[in-house]
Amino acid sequence: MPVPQLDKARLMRSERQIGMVMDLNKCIGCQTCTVACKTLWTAEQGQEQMYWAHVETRPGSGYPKNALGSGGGWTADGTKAVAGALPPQQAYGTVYDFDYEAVLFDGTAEHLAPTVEPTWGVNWDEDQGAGRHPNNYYFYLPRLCNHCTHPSCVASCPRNALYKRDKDGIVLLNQERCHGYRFCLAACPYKKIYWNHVAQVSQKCIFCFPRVDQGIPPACSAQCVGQVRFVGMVDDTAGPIYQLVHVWKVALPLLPQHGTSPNIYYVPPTAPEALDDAGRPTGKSRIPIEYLESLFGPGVAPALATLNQELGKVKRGESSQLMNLLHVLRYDDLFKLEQRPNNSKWFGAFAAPNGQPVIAPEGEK
Amino acid sequence: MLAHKVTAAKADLADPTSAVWAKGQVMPVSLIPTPLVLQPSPWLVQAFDGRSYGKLAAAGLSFLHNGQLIAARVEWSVPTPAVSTRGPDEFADACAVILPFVRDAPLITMGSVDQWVNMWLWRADSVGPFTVTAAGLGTTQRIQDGVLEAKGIYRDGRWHVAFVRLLAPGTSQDHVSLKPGTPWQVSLALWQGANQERAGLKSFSPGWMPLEIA
Repeated sequence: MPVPQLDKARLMRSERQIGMVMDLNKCIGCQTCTVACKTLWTAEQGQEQMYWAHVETRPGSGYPKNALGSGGGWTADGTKAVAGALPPQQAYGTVYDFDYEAVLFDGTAEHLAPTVEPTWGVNWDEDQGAGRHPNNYYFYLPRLCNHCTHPSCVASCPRNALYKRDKDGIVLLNQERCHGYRFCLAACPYKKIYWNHVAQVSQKCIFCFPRVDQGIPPACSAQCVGQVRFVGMVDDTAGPIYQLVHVWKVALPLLPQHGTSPNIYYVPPTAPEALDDAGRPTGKSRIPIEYLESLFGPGVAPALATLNQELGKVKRGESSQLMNLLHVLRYDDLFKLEQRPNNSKWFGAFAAPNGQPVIAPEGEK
Repeated sequence: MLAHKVTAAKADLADPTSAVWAKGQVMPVSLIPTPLVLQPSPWLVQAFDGRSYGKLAAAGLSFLHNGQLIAARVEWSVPTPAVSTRGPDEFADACAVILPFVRDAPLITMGSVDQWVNMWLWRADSVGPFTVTAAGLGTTQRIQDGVLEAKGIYRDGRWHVAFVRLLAPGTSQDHVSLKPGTPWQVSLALWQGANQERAGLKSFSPGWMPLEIA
């Protein structure tokens, strides 16, 4: 029996919008977010190279390789579609195992090694960076689906398998409607939709909506050891997202020129001053502002100016509301979700496979 | 196009290289690209503007039946067969025999809410075959209920694909019932995997062709 026709315009809209801000000054590239997501959602066959959340190193080629230069999205004003390419398999690297058998049992090899020569992968070019000593630099860029306000993936799907959830704008991909045509992958300028060749459907980040529905932050955010990730409703004027994006204007979207209006924002990395040949500070950031602007758009300079100004206050022993917000003195301040969790739900969410809670028992929090 | 009645086992009807197909009357079918403007995706319509697709312009189509089973055989040329859907940018060659549930259902929109169409879909990556129902653009539903069987072989630069199915598979809403002596209609669609053709990006025979079942 045919599936019903759906109203594309309706699928593109939501009543409210959830968002995330990531403070890149605090990301240490530990990939705890990556692992938290991977173990929770993408551990099945066909998902080996699927990372709904991952961290890549910038400057670098990212994951899949050259993802951010593969087109898709819209013109900057969001009015006209821009063609995008589908990444080839090589952009994800190869799937490989390690030769445990040879090392641990057969004795035919001494050191564990991949069974095939890896060619690319998540954060493949970690620490490659750019610049020459003493002005070399790099920083980490955690990425996930941007749950865009004007999502080209939703617009692209001839099956209307993709939609924005009404109550929070989370972009979901209906696995029953998906026929694996992958227009969404071509249309996503961030290449954050993945092809599952086993299930023959496309799959993507769901912003951990089953957790969010219980007031529990997404796994990538809850597990982040650097407390990098703020989560809340974008229109909540008292919440961290609104404060950082719209009041302080220090959190910026990735590649805003693609016209999709992302709802994942980044506090750009500040950096020490570059040094001249004699080792004297030049007054310029070691990370070229042009590079940051190529990622986060024209808001970088004002954002960095605000950050440095507020940082200066703290250095002088004064108080800064912005720095207090970014420092996150209480873990709970990272998240302001509509549904407040009760403790039992928290502990359920963080239970280890043996059922034991893996964070402090109730009462110690 | 005439579906001759033959005495043949299912295994022969389902084999595109079987000698039984020498008894089939091969109808040359002309195909054209589907109109981009009709694609049910505003992004796709704009982003694929000017991109070449639907260039497989000719195919051969024949039918046979044995009184119980009906079989279709499709053949077409493609320089390089595309058989893998492993990579994110890989799509498989495919063909579909299209039948209306009611005569003269709107073909160009893949039917309508009241006038469904039926497809027998074969893909070169060995996923399927699928029986597809559609009630308009963007409504296709694929099922694998065992009613439809298909086999494809690439030989001498051409795909040869045979489908076989019961003439009247029963009361299921997912299958058009056919009957000897009752004229019906048929159309054809081809997808060139190497050109990343999938979904509505395909070539198709733009009108229903008559199908006589002897």
